[in-house]
Amino acid sequence: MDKRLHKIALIEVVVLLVLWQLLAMLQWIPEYLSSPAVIGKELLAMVMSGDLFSNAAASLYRSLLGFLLVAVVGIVLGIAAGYFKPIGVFFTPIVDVLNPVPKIALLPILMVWFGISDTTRVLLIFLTAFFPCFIATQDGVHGVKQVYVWAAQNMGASRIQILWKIILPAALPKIFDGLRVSLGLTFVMLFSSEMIGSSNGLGLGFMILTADMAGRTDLMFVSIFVIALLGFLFDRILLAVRARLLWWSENRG
Amino acid sequence: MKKGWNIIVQYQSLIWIVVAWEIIAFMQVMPERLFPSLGKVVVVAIDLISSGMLMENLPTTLFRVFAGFALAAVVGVPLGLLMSRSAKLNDVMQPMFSLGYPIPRVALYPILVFILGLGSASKVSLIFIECLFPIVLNTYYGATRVGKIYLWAGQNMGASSSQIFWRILLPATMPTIFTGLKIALPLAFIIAVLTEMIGSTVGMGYLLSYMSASLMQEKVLACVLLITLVGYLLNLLLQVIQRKYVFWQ
Repeated sequence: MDKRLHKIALIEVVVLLVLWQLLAMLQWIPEYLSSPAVIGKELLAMVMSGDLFSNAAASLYRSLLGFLLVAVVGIVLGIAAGYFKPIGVFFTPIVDVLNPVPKIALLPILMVWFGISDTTRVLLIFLTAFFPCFIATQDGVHGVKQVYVWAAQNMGASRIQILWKIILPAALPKIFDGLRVSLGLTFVMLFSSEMIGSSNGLGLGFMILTADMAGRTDLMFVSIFVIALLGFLFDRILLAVRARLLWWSENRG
Repeated sequence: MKKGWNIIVQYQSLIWIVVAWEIIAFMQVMPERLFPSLGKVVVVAIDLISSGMLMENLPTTLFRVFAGFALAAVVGVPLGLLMSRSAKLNDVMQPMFSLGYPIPRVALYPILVFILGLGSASKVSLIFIECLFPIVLNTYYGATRVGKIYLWAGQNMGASSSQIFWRILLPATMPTIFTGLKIALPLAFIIAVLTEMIGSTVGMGYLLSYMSASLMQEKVLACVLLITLVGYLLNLLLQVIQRKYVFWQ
Protein backbone atom coordinates (compact mmCIF):
# COMPACT_ATOMS: atom_id res chain seq x y z
CA MET A 1 0.00 0.00 0.00
CA ASP A 2 1.36 3.37 -0.91
CA LYS A 3 0.75 6.65 0.91
CA ARG A 4 -2.34 7.50 -1.11
CA LEU A 5 -4.06 4.23 -0.26
CA HIS A 6 -3.13 4.77 3.40
CA LYS A 7 -5.00 8.04 3.28
CA ILE A 8 -8.03 6.48 1.62
CA ALA A 9 -8.02 3.70 4.20
CA LEU A 10 -8.00 6.23 7.01
CA ILE A 11 -10.85 8.18 5.44
CA GLU A 12 -12.88 5.00 4.99
CA VAL A 13 -12.44 3.96 8.61
CA VAL A 14 -13.41 7.42 9.85
CA VAL A 15 -16.47 7.54 7.56
CA LEU A 16 -17.54 4.10 8.78
CA LEU A 17 -17.22 5.11 12.43
CA VAL A 18 -19.07 8.38 11.92
CA LEU A 19 -21.84 6.59 10.02
CA TRP A 20 -22.14 3.99 12.76
CA GLN A 21 -22.25 6.68 15.43
CA LEU A 22 -24.90 8.63 13.50
CA LEU A 23 -27.09 5.58 12.97
CA ALA A 24 -26.79 4.73 16.66
CA MET A 25 -27.68 8.29 17.70
CA LEU A 26 -30.69 8.32 15.39
CA GLN A 27 -31.58 4.89 16.78
CA TRP A 28 -31.91 3.48 13.32
CA ILE A 29 -29.94 0.40 14.31
CA PRO A 30 -30.87 -1.83 17.25
CA GLU A 31 -29.34 -0.91 20.55
CA TYR A 32 -27.29 -4.10 20.77
CA LEU A 33 -25.13 -2.80 17.94
CA SER A 34 -23.85 -0.19 20.39
CA SER A 35 -21.94 2.82 19.07
CA PRO A 36 -18.29 3.79 18.65
CA ALA A 37 -18.54 6.36 21.45
CA VAL A 38 -19.81 3.80 23.96
CA ILE A 39 -17.28 1.22 22.84
CA GLY A 40 -14.49 3.79 23.06
CA LYS A 41 -15.53 4.70 26.58
CA GLU A 42 -15.59 1.06 27.65
CA LEU A 43 -12.24 0.48 26.00
CA LEU A 44 -10.73 3.39 27.88
CA ALA A 45 -12.21 2.17 31.16
CA MET A 46 -10.74 -1.29 30.60
CA VAL A 47 -7.37 0.14 29.71
CA MET A 48 -7.44 2.24 32.89
CA SER A 49 -8.42 -0.64 35.14
CA GLY A 50 -5.79 -2.88 33.55
CA ASP A 51 -8.31 -5.66 32.86
CA LEU A 52 -7.61 -5.40 29.20
CA PHE A 53 -3.88 -5.94 29.55
CA SER A 54 -4.10 -9.06 31.68
CA ASN A 55 -6.59 -10.62 29.25
CA ALA A 56 -4.69 -9.54 26.17
CA ALA A 57 -1.41 -10.75 27.69
CA ALA A 58 -2.88 -14.19 28.41
CA SER A 59 -4.15 -14.49 24.84
CA LEU A 60 -0.98 -13.13 23.30
CA TYR A 61 1.16 -15.50 25.32
CA ARG A 62 -0.73 -18.47 23.88
CA SER A 63 -0.79 -17.31 20.30
CA LEU A 64 2.81 -16.10 20.19
CA LEU A 65 4.10 -19.26 21.87
CA GLY A 66 2.18 -21.27 19.30
CA PHE A 67 3.49 -19.12 16.49
CA LEU A 68 7.08 -19.38 17.71
CA LEU A 69 6.80 -23.18 17.83
CA VAL A 70 5.34 -23.18 14.33
CA ALA A 71 8.11 -20.93 13.01
CA VAL A 72 10.92 -23.03 14.48
CA VAL A 73 9.51 -26.51 13.83
CA GLY A 74 7.87 -25.59 10.53
CA ILE A 75 10.93 -23.96 9.02
CA VAL A 76 13.40 -26.63 10.23
CA LEU A 77 11.21 -29.52 9.08
CA GLY A 78 10.26 -27.70 5.89
CA ILE A 79 13.89 -27.15 4.92
CA ALA A 80 14.77 -30.74 5.82
CA ALA A 81 11.84 -32.05 3.78
CA GLY A 82 12.69 -29.81 0.87
CA TYR A 83 16.42 -30.48 0.83
CA PHE A 84 16.60 -34.19 1.71
CA LYS A 85 14.33 -36.08 -0.63
CA PRO A 86 13.60 -39.12 1.59
CA ILE A 87 12.40 -36.84 4.39
CA GLY A 88 10.14 -35.02 1.94
CA VAL A 89 8.68 -38.30 0.71
CA PHE A 90 8.17 -39.38 4.30
CA PHE A 91 6.16 -36.29 5.21
CA THR A 92 4.10 -35.89 2.03
CA PRO A 93 1.28 -38.33 2.90
CA ILE A 94 0.95 -36.91 6.43
CA VAL A 95 0.60 -33.39 5.06
CA ASP A 96 -1.84 -34.49 2.34
CA VAL A 97 -4.12 -36.18 4.85
CA LEU A 98 -3.89 -33.78 7.78
CA ASN A 99 -3.75 -30.43 5.99
CA PRO A 100 -7.42 -30.27 4.94
CA VAL A 101 -8.69 -31.35 8.38
CA PRO A 102 -10.39 -28.56 10.29
CA LYS A 103 -7.99 -28.64 13.23
CA ILE A 104 -10.60 -27.12 15.49
CA ALA A 105 -12.31 -30.53 15.40
CA LEU A 106 -9.35 -31.87 17.37
CA LEU A 107 -10.15 -29.55 20.27
CA PRO A 108 -12.48 -31.98 22.06
CA ILE A 109 -9.88 -34.75 21.79
CA LEU A 110 -7.02 -32.57 23.00
CA MET A 111 -9.24 -31.33 25.80
CA VAL A 112 -9.73 -34.86 27.09
CA TRP A 113 -6.02 -35.65 26.83
CA PHE A 114 -4.53 -32.45 28.18
CA GLY A 115 -7.43 -30.84 30.00
CA ILE A 116 -8.84 -27.39 29.45
CA SER A 117 -5.44 -25.82 29.70
CA ASP A 118 -2.93 -23.67 27.89
CA THR A 119 -1.25 -26.85 26.64
CA THR A 120 -4.40 -27.75 24.71
CA ARG A 121 -4.74 -24.29 23.24
CA VAL A 122 -1.11 -23.86 22.27
CA LEU A 123 -1.10 -27.35 20.75
CA LEU A 124 -4.21 -26.54 18.75
CA ILE A 125 -2.70 -23.29 17.53
CA PHE A 126 0.46 -25.15 16.61
CA LEU A 127 -1.39 -27.86 14.68
CA THR A 128 -3.42 -25.28 12.74
CA ALA A 129 -0.61 -22.94 11.85
CA PHE A 130 2.07 -25.57 11.22
CA PHE A 131 0.98 -26.73 7.77
CA PRO A 132 1.04 -23.41 5.84
CA CYS A 133 4.52 -22.70 7.20
CA PHE A 134 5.82 -26.19 6.46
CA ILE A 135 4.35 -26.33 2.96
CA ALA A 136 5.59 -22.85 2.04
CA THR A 137 9.09 -23.59 3.33
CA GLN A 138 9.31 -26.86 1.44
CA ASP A 139 8.04 -25.09 -1.66
CA GLY A 140 10.61 -22.35 -1.20
CA VAL A 141 13.46 -24.84 -0.93
CA HIS A 142 12.27 -26.64 -4.06
CA GLY A 143 12.24 -23.30 -5.86
CA VAL A 144 15.90 -22.50 -5.14
CA LYS A 145 17.82 -22.33 -8.39
CA GLN A 146 20.02 -25.38 -8.78
CA VAL A 147 22.72 -23.17 -10.29
CA TYR A 148 23.32 -21.52 -6.92
CA VAL A 149 23.78 -24.86 -5.23
CA TRP A 150 26.12 -26.08 -7.95
CA ALA A 151 28.13 -22.88 -7.74
CA ALA A 152 28.52 -23.31 -4.00
CA GLN A 153 29.46 -26.97 -4.35
CA ASN A 154 31.96 -26.04 -6.98
CA MET A 155 33.62 -23.62 -4.61
CA GLY A 156 33.83 -26.33 -1.97
CA ALA A 157 31.00 -25.39 0.36
CA SER A 158 29.97 -28.03 2.88
CA ARG A 159 26.35 -29.22 3.14
CA ILE A 160 25.80 -27.14 6.26
CA GLN A 161 27.18 -24.07 4.50
CA ILE A 162 24.96 -24.68 1.50
CA LEU A 163 21.89 -25.00 3.74
CA TRP A 164 22.71 -21.95 5.80
CA LYS A 165 24.14 -19.63 3.15
CA ILE A 166 22.27 -20.61 -0.01
CA ILE A 167 19.08 -22.55 0.65
CA LEU A 168 17.79 -20.60 3.66
CA PRO A 169 18.20 -17.09 2.24
CA ALA A 170 16.92 -18.11 -1.18
CA ALA A 171 13.82 -19.73 0.33
CA LEU A 172 13.21 -16.88 2.76
CA PRO A 173 10.67 -14.92 0.66
CA LYS A 174 8.45 -18.01 0.40
CA ILE A 175 8.99 -18.82 4.07
CA PHE A 176 7.70 -15.37 4.99
CA ASP A 177 4.62 -15.91 2.81
CA GLY A 178 3.91 -19.05 4.82
CA LEU A 179 4.63 -17.35 8.14
CA ARG A 180 2.15 -14.61 7.32
CA VAL A 181 -0.62 -17.12 6.72
CA SER A 182 0.38 -18.98 9.89
CA LEU A 183 0.35 -15.80 11.94
CA GLY A 184 -3.16 -15.00 10.76
CA LEU A 185 -4.28 -18.49 11.70
CA THR A 186 -2.82 -18.28 15.20
CA PHE A 187 -5.06 -15.30 15.88
CA VAL A 188 -8.09 -17.10 14.47
CA MET A 189 -7.37 -20.08 16.70
CA LEU A 190 -6.65 -17.87 19.67
CA PHE A 191 -10.23 -16.69 19.45
CA SER A 192 -11.73 -20.07 18.56
CA SER A 193 -9.96 -22.13 21.21
CA GLU A 194 -11.13 -19.73 23.90
CA MET A 195 -14.69 -19.54 22.59
CA ILE A 196 -15.23 -23.28 22.77
CA GLY A 197 -14.80 -25.19 25.97
CA SER A 198 -16.17 -23.14 28.77
CA SER A 199 -13.61 -22.17 31.31
CA ASN A 200 -13.14 -18.99 33.19
CA GLY A 201 -9.58 -18.02 32.61
CA LEU A 202 -8.04 -14.91 31.22
CA GLY A 203 -8.17 -14.18 27.53
CA LEU A 204 -9.83 -12.05 24.89
CA GLY A 205 -12.03 -14.93 23.72
CA PHE A 206 -13.27 -15.42 27.26
CA MET A 207 -14.00 -11.73 27.47
CA ILE A 208 -16.30 -12.11 24.47
CA LEU A 209 -17.89 -15.20 25.98
CA THR A 210 -18.62 -13.62 29.36
CA ALA A 211 -19.82 -10.40 27.75
CA ASP A 212 -22.09 -12.48 25.50
CA MET A 213 -23.62 -14.26 28.47
CA ALA A 214 -24.23 -10.95 30.19
CA GLY A 215 -25.70 -9.51 26.99
CA ARG A 216 -23.09 -6.73 27.00
CA THR A 217 -22.45 -6.25 23.30
CA ASP A 218 -20.41 -3.13 23.96
CA LEU A 219 -17.88 -5.25 25.86
CA MET A 220 -17.94 -7.80 23.05
CA PHE A 221 -17.08 -5.07 20.58
CA VAL A 222 -14.19 -3.98 22.79
CA SER A 223 -12.70 -7.49 22.78
CA ILE A 224 -13.30 -7.92 19.06
CA PHE A 225 -11.65 -4.58 18.43
CA VAL A 226 -8.61 -5.55 20.49
CA ILE A 227 -8.30 -8.95 18.77
CA ALA A 228 -8.55 -7.26 15.37
CA LEU A 229 -6.01 -4.64 16.41
CA LEU A 230 -3.53 -7.23 17.65
CA GLY A 231 -3.95 -9.31 14.51
CA PHE A 232 -3.32 -6.25 12.39
CA LEU A 233 -0.39 -5.07 14.48
CA PHE A 234 1.47 -8.37 14.45
CA ASP A 235 0.93 -8.70 10.72
CA ARG A 236 2.59 -5.29 10.31
CA ILE A 237 5.47 -6.34 12.56
CA LEU A 238 6.01 -9.47 10.50
CA LEU A 239 5.97 -7.42 7.29
CA ALA A 240 8.48 -4.99 8.79
CA VAL A 241 10.81 -7.83 9.81
CA ARG A 242 10.44 -9.25 6.33
CA ALA A 243 11.30 -5.95 4.67
CA ARG A 244 14.35 -5.68 6.93
CA LEU A 245 15.61 -9.21 6.32
CA LEU A 246 14.78 -9.27 2.64
CA TRP A 247 16.20 -5.88 1.71
CA TRP A 248 17.92 -7.58 -1.21
CA SER A 249 14.79 -9.15 -2.61
CA GLU A 250 12.36 -7.58 -5.07
CA ASN A 251 9.57 -9.44 -3.35
CA ARG A 252 9.55 -7.48 -0.09
CA GLY A 253 5.81 -7.57 0.42
CA MET B 1 5.35 -56.92 -6.15
CA LYS B 2 7.88 -54.15 -6.58
CA LYS B 3 5.09 -51.65 -7.18
CA GLY B 4 3.21 -52.64 -4.05
CA TRP B 5 6.39 -52.28 -2.03
CA ASN B 6 6.94 -48.80 -3.46
CA ILE B 7 3.48 -47.71 -2.38
CA ILE B 8 4.17 -49.00 1.12
CA VAL B 9 7.45 -47.10 1.24
CA GLN B 10 5.76 -43.97 -0.05
CA TYR B 11 3.04 -44.06 2.57
CA GLN B 12 5.21 -45.47 5.34
CA SER B 13 4.74 -42.43 7.57
CA LEU B 14 1.00 -43.06 7.80
CA ILE B 15 1.61 -46.73 8.48
CA TRP B 16 4.08 -45.87 11.25
CA ILE B 17 1.55 -43.54 12.84
CA VAL B 18 -1.16 -46.20 12.77
CA VAL B 19 1.22 -48.80 14.18
CA ALA B 20 2.43 -46.47 16.94
CA TRP B 21 -1.17 -45.56 17.78
CA GLU B 22 -2.21 -49.20 18.01
CA ILE B 23 0.78 -50.07 20.19
CA ILE B 24 -0.04 -47.23 22.59
CA ALA B 25 -3.67 -48.29 22.63
CA PHE B 26 -2.76 -51.97 23.10
CA MET B 27 -0.30 -51.31 25.92
CA GLN B 28 -2.91 -49.19 27.61
CA VAL B 29 -0.49 -46.39 28.34
CA MET B 30 -3.59 -44.29 28.71
CA PRO B 31 -6.95 -45.68 29.80
CA GLU B 32 -8.86 -47.19 26.89
CA ARG B 33 -11.64 -44.67 27.30
CA LEU B 34 -9.16 -41.91 26.52
CA PHE B 35 -7.12 -43.67 23.86
CA PRO B 36 -9.18 -46.19 21.92
CA SER B 37 -7.70 -48.34 19.18
CA LEU B 38 -8.25 -47.15 15.64
CA GLY B 39 -10.16 -50.30 14.76
CA LYS B 40 -12.77 -49.37 17.30
CA VAL B 41 -12.91 -45.80 15.98
CA VAL B 42 -13.60 -47.06 12.47
CA VAL B 43 -16.36 -49.33 13.76
CA VAL B 44 -18.00 -46.42 15.56
CA ALA B 45 -17.62 -44.23 12.46
CA ILE B 46 -19.39 -46.84 10.33
CA ASP B 47 -22.04 -47.07 13.00
CA LEU B 48 -22.52 -43.28 12.82
CA ILE B 49 -23.07 -43.56 9.09
CA SER B 50 -25.44 -46.53 9.18
CA SER B 51 -27.49 -45.19 12.10
CA GLY B 52 -28.29 -42.10 10.06
CA MET B 53 -26.55 -39.71 12.47
CA LEU B 54 -24.27 -38.57 9.67
CA MET B 55 -27.10 -38.01 7.24
CA GLU B 56 -28.96 -35.92 9.79
CA ASN B 57 -26.06 -33.53 10.19
CA LEU B 58 -23.95 -33.58 7.05
CA PRO B 59 -26.47 -31.98 4.63
CA THR B 60 -26.91 -28.93 6.87
CA THR B 61 -23.17 -28.40 7.11
CA LEU B 62 -22.70 -28.88 3.38
CA PHE B 63 -25.54 -26.48 2.66
CA ARG B 64 -23.89 -23.81 4.81
CA VAL B 65 -20.49 -24.43 3.25
CA PHE B 66 -21.75 -24.23 -0.32
CA ALA B 67 -24.15 -21.34 0.29
CA GLY B 68 -21.43 -19.17 1.81
CA PHE B 69 -18.82 -20.32 -0.68
CA ALA B 70 -21.08 -19.80 -3.71
CA LEU B 71 -22.11 -16.34 -2.54
CA ALA B 72 -18.48 -15.38 -2.04
CA ALA B 73 -17.57 -16.70 -5.49
CA VAL B 74 -20.49 -14.96 -7.20
CA VAL B 75 -19.65 -11.65 -5.53
CA GLY B 76 -15.89 -12.02 -5.26
CA VAL B 77 -14.88 -13.01 -8.79
CA PRO B 78 -16.69 -10.13 -10.56
CA LEU B 79 -15.51 -7.73 -7.85
CA GLY B 80 -11.90 -8.80 -8.28
CA LEU B 81 -12.14 -8.50 -12.06
CA LEU B 82 -13.78 -5.09 -11.86
CA MET B 83 -11.14 -3.88 -9.40
CA SER B 84 -8.45 -4.80 -11.89
CA ARG B 85 -10.23 -2.84 -14.66
CA SER B 86 -11.27 0.28 -12.79
CA ALA B 87 -8.71 2.30 -10.87
CA LYS B 88 -11.44 4.18 -9.01
CA LEU B 89 -13.12 1.05 -7.68
CA ASN B 90 -9.73 -0.33 -6.78
CA ASP B 91 -8.92 2.81 -4.77
CA VAL B 92 -12.10 2.36 -2.78
CA MET B 93 -11.94 -1.40 -2.23
CA GLN B 94 -8.21 -2.11 -1.95
CA PRO B 95 -7.74 -0.41 1.46
CA MET B 96 -10.69 -2.35 2.89
CA PHE B 97 -9.21 -5.64 1.81
CA SER B 98 -5.69 -4.74 2.95
CA LEU B 99 -7.00 -3.61 6.33
CA GLY B 100 -9.35 -6.56 6.72
CA TYR B 101 -6.92 -9.22 5.55
CA PRO B 102 -4.82 -9.66 8.70
CA ILE B 103 -7.79 -9.29 11.04
CA PRO B 104 -9.20 -12.53 12.49
CA ARG B 105 -12.67 -12.09 11.04
CA VAL B 106 -14.15 -15.04 12.92
CA ALA B 107 -14.17 -12.79 15.97
CA LEU B 108 -17.18 -11.08 14.35
CA TYR B 109 -19.20 -14.26 14.76
CA PRO B 110 -20.72 -13.44 18.17
CA ILE B 111 -21.97 -10.14 16.77
CA LEU B 112 -23.40 -11.87 13.71
CA VAL B 113 -25.23 -14.23 16.04
CA PHE B 114 -26.74 -11.23 17.80
CA ILE B 115 -27.97 -9.80 14.50
CA LEU B 116 -28.92 -12.95 12.58
CA GLY B 117 -29.52 -15.54 15.27
CA LEU B 118 -27.96 -18.94 15.82
CA GLY B 119 -29.35 -20.49 12.63
CA SER B 120 -27.78 -20.84 9.22
CA ALA B 121 -27.89 -17.12 8.40
CA SER B 122 -25.09 -16.09 10.77
CA LYS B 123 -22.94 -19.05 9.75
CA VAL B 124 -23.40 -18.53 6.02
CA SER B 125 -22.59 -14.83 6.44
CA LEU B 126 -19.36 -15.56 8.27
CA ILE B 127 -18.36 -18.15 5.67
CA PHE B 128 -19.15 -15.57 2.98
CA ILE B 129 -16.94 -12.95 4.64
CA GLU B 130 -14.07 -15.37 5.17
CA CYS B 131 -14.19 -16.74 1.62
CA LEU B 132 -14.50 -13.32 0.03
CA PHE B 133 -10.93 -12.33 0.91
CA PRO B 134 -8.95 -15.08 -0.83
CA ILE B 135 -11.32 -15.08 -3.82
CA VAL B 136 -11.23 -11.31 -4.43
CA LEU B 137 -7.50 -10.93 -3.80
CA ASN B 138 -6.49 -13.86 -6.02
CA THR B 139 -8.85 -12.81 -8.80
CA TYR B 140 -7.55 -9.26 -8.61
CA TYR B 141 -3.88 -10.19 -8.70
CA GLY B 142 -4.49 -12.74 -11.43
CA ALA B 143 -6.35 -10.23 -13.58
CA THR B 144 -3.72 -7.52 -13.16
CA ARG B 145 -1.07 -9.95 -14.31
CA VAL B 146 -2.75 -10.92 -17.57
CA GLY B 147 -0.19 -10.31 -20.28
CA LYS B 148 -0.77 -6.88 -21.84
CA ILE B 149 0.17 -8.37 -25.20
CA TYR B 150 -2.92 -10.59 -25.22
CA LEU B 151 -5.17 -7.62 -24.54
CA TRP B 152 -3.41 -5.53 -27.17
CA ALA B 153 -3.65 -8.34 -29.69
CA GLY B 154 -7.37 -8.62 -29.03
CA GLN B 155 -7.89 -4.87 -29.40
CA ASN B 156 -5.79 -4.83 -32.52
CA MET B 157 -7.98 -7.44 -34.13
CA GLY B 158 -11.05 -5.38 -33.34
CA ALA B 159 -12.47 -7.29 -30.39
CA SER B 160 -15.15 -5.43 -28.45
CA SER B 161 -14.59 -4.85 -24.77
CA SER B 162 -17.08 -7.58 -23.86
CA GLN B 163 -15.25 -9.97 -26.18
CA ILE B 164 -11.96 -9.03 -24.57
CA PHE B 165 -13.47 -9.72 -21.18
CA TRP B 166 -15.02 -13.09 -21.99
CA ARG B 167 -12.46 -14.40 -24.44
CA ILE B 168 -9.20 -13.08 -23.01
CA LEU B 169 -9.37 -11.64 -19.52
CA LEU B 170 -11.56 -14.28 -17.90
CA PRO B 171 -9.82 -17.37 -19.32
CA ALA B 172 -6.39 -15.88 -18.58
CA THR B 173 -7.41 -15.19 -14.98
CA MET B 174 -9.08 -18.59 -14.49
CA PRO B 175 -6.06 -20.39 -12.98
CA THR B 176 -5.59 -17.77 -10.25
CA ILE B 177 -9.34 -17.62 -9.65
CA PHE B 178 -9.13 -21.33 -8.94
CA THR B 179 -6.21 -20.75 -6.59
CA GLY B 180 -8.49 -18.45 -4.62
CA LEU B 181 -11.36 -20.93 -4.68
CA LYS B 182 -9.02 -23.68 -3.55
CA ILE B 183 -8.04 -21.62 -0.52
CA ALA B 184 -11.64 -20.60 0.15
CA LEU B 185 -13.41 -23.97 0.12
CA PRO B 186 -11.47 -25.63 2.99
CA LEU B 187 -11.81 -22.34 4.83
CA ALA B 188 -15.59 -22.48 4.37
CA PHE B 189 -15.68 -25.99 5.80
CA ILE B 190 -13.49 -25.04 8.77
CA ILE B 191 -15.67 -22.04 9.58
CA ALA B 192 -18.82 -24.15 9.26
CA VAL B 193 -17.52 -26.74 11.73
CA LEU B 194 -16.17 -24.07 14.06
CA THR B 195 -19.37 -22.03 14.20
CA GLU B 196 -21.42 -25.17 14.67
CA MET B 197 -19.21 -26.10 17.60
CA ILE B 198 -19.72 -22.70 19.18
CA GLY B 199 -23.48 -22.90 18.95
CA SER B 200 -25.86 -24.97 16.86
CA THR B 201 -28.43 -27.72 17.07
CA VAL B 202 -27.52 -29.49 13.87
CA GLY B 203 -24.43 -30.00 11.71
CA MET B 204 -21.10 -31.80 11.86
CA GLY B 205 -19.69 -29.38 14.42
CA TYR B 206 -22.76 -29.92 16.57
CA LEU B 207 -22.39 -33.69 16.22
CA LEU B 208 -18.80 -33.37 17.35
CA SER B 209 -19.53 -31.35 20.46
CA TYR B 210 -22.53 -33.57 21.20
CA MET B 211 -20.29 -36.62 21.03
CA SER B 212 -17.58 -35.03 23.13
CA ALA B 213 -20.15 -34.47 25.86
CA SER B 214 -20.46 -38.26 26.05
CA LEU B 215 -16.78 -38.36 27.10
CA MET B 216 -16.23 -41.37 24.88
CA GLN B 217 -13.11 -40.72 22.87
CA GLU B 218 -13.90 -43.32 20.22
CA LYS B 219 -17.09 -41.46 19.35
CA VAL B 220 -15.28 -38.12 19.17
CA LEU B 221 -12.49 -39.61 17.11
CA ALA B 222 -15.01 -41.24 14.78
CA CYS B 223 -16.56 -37.82 14.29
CA VAL B 224 -13.18 -36.26 13.56
CA LEU B 225 -12.52 -39.09 11.11
CA LEU B 226 -15.76 -38.35 9.26
CA ILE B 227 -15.07 -34.61 9.24
CA THR B 228 -11.58 -35.29 7.88
CA LEU B 229 -13.06 -37.46 5.17
CA VAL B 230 -15.58 -34.81 4.16
CA GLY B 231 -12.87 -32.13 4.10
CA TYR B 232 -10.66 -34.35 1.97
CA LEU B 233 -13.49 -35.11 -0.46
CA LEU B 234 -14.36 -31.42 -0.81
CA ASN B 235 -10.74 -30.75 -1.74
CA LEU B 236 -10.80 -33.56 -4.25
CA LEU B 237 -14.01 -32.27 -5.81
CA LEU B 238 -12.47 -28.88 -6.49
CA GLN B 239 -9.37 -30.49 -7.98
CA VAL B 240 -11.49 -32.56 -10.36
CA ILE B 241 -13.46 -29.49 -11.44
CA GLN B 242 -10.26 -27.55 -11.97
CA ARG B 243 -8.72 -30.29 -14.07
CA LYS B 244 -11.83 -30.42 -16.19
CA TYR B 245 -12.40 -26.72 -16.81
CA VAL B 246 -8.95 -25.18 -16.56
CA PHE B 247 -7.34 -27.89 -18.62
CA TRP B 248 -4.99 -25.54 -20.43
CA GLN B 249 -2.92 -24.85 -17.34
